[in-house]
Amino acid sequence: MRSLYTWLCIFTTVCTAAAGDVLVALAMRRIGDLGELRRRHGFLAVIVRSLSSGVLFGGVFFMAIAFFSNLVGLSWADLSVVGPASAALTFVTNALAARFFLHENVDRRRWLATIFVCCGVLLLTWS
Amino acid sequence: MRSRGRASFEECRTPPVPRASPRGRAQLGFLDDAIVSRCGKRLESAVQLRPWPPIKFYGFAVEVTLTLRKYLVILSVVFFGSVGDAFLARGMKHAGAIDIHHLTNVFSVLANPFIIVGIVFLLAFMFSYMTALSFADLTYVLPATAISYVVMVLLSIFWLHESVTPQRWAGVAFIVVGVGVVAGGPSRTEHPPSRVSAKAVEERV
Repeated sequence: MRSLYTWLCIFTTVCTAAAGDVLVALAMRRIGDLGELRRRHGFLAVIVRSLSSGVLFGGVFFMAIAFFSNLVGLSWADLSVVGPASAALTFVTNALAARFFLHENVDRRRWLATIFVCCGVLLLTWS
Repeated sequence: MRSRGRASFEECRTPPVPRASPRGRAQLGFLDDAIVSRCGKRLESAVQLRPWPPIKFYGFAVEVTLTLRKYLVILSVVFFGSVGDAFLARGMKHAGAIDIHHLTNVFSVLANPFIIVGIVFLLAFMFSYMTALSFADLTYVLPATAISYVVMVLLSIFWLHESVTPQRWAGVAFIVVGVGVVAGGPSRTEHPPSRVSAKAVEERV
């Protein structure tokens, strides 16, 4: 039963982390290049435009849920299980979510990079 | 480095975008924030940004696809994220374990200077992460900033004096290859302009 709860926590962490990243990316795409915005209208405009985005706050909210879900998972299972599983699965889920929700061009190069980074994170955190 | 690209006549028919650079040069390159052609149209592609020819590596062309400022933003995501995590780890080690039945004790660690510095670094990480997502795809930023795992390993060796096994070094090698593969490719998916965004551009100009 404890194992089921642990995997439920990992699943929640992965899904909410992907939702948070996708929403923050969507918000920043709508706001536009922050560097250009700062050059044209000043730093205050960057802060006002960012803070007035509801999608951005939605993304931060999901990121916070992912953080606390990860903490709860760590309290139930070892770091050697929760750490690699959530980190590696988050990379793959983010790539899929970006492909389907943000319509990003996730080509062979980006899949290869995601798989290499996943393997690297697994090796780093499982040891 | 000067840009090599030239805007065609068709491109120059679009209204010029005013450039806010104090230097006021017309055509710029890798070291500049924005690439603007002679007619004022914004140009930012691998052709204009290329300070050196692309390198072919197992069928992948590795080339410069961002300006120097944007590479520095990606580096700042890596720096603030990994150093912030290291400060938090150091602070939490100093504070000791938190009892699950007394979770409110977590607020007591906020008095620890390492935790405070860690939070400030993570706020800077969030801002630079948002800036990176404003000019590059999520599937570019996430693998490219995964080099922070490598920085964390180096910090754990030299600052926290932890031992690193050969398995971890293999993980570092995988991440470095993954970052190299994605960083040499295009950073942004170009979507065809919708009617709404075209209207927004017209209003902006």
